[in-house]
Amino acid sequence: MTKVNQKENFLKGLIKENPVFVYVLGICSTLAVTKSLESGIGMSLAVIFVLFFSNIVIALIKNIVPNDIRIPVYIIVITTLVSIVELIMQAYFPSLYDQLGIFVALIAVNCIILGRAEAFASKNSVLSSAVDALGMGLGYTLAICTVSIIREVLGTGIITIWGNAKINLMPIFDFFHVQPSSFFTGNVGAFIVLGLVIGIVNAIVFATKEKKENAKKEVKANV
Amino acid sequence: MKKLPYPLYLALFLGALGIIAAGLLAGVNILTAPAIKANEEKRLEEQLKVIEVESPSIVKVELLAGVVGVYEGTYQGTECYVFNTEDTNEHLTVRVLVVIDKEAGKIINLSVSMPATTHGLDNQFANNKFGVINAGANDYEGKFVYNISNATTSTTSVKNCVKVAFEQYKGIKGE
Repeated sequence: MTKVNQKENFLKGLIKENPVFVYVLGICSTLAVTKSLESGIGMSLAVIFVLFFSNIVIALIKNIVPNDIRIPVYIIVITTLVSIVELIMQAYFPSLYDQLGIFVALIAVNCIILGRAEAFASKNSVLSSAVDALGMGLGYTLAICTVSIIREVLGTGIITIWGNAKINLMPIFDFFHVQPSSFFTGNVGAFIVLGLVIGIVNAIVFATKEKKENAKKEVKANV
Repeated sequence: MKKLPYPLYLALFLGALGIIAAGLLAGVNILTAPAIKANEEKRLEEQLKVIEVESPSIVKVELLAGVVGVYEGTYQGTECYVFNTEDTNEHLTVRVLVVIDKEAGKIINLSVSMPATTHGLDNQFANNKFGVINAGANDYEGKFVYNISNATTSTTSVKNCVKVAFEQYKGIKGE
């Protein structure tokens, strides 16, 4: 087991190795539940819960799980956690449960969760796996909230934070004499917004990387 | 002690993990069941208000498969039955309240009380027009069910709910 820098481990999931923007994982839910910020936040919390506990459990049991059945074991752990989230949401957040619908159950097949279990938690310590889960979970949250805000603002002129807590941006639309378009809250709008955001984020990441590499080359040349 | 054959060990390992998972889920289920039941009752109460059925009371009849409950009341002065029906298609459950005129045997209102199926159809289901369009139908294959969208699962489920509501109605009327 290699020693992990926890700060780097946490931060990598936000931008550098963002599961949605860089690895393009968890796209199904990102497209489907980003009609409003509220459902995006709800989905993110559910994913963080499942990711955090599945990483911890898998890191704890990694040494006793026979290698031949590791994937079925991970799936049992993940689906159990998803079912727990589903029951809790159905009991205590019924309106959110209705909004997210089938996508709560589909967290079980979210590639981010099984991906982190196989690629990270099964090879690292409990602490590192927990930190990785939080970083990746927040990276997913960042992605889903960015897409939600853009779609909801352009589609309705409002940002629904939670329940009745809303930000009305219609005066800005009125100022420019334009109207929000339901195109952005539709399926096609979701693909276009997500594609553009992924493109912009990757362009920024690529430019930053190139800048760093050029700076390194310059330093080397000067030496 | 004799060592277990490897395949048997794997099967036992998975079995043990499955038992732990099932135990955990059973615990959470016991804890959340009352809240889920209360939510469903509240939802039904609200839906009965939405479909404007006044003074609803439970009708004690033998329920057909797919009928969760039968109520009677008045809708805009007309005596009616309310059939709380459900249908599961592709592992997804839809619940529909079908209001049928007691005498004429025609739909006078209809509301989907639990969409929770295809994401994004909630508003379309909640649309009052959905009930209005189907009003006057006296058979599940008649002039409705209004095709909500291209969501086959939901549409099929709604149709099945209406079908079972008519069957239950005929049962009550002794037809």
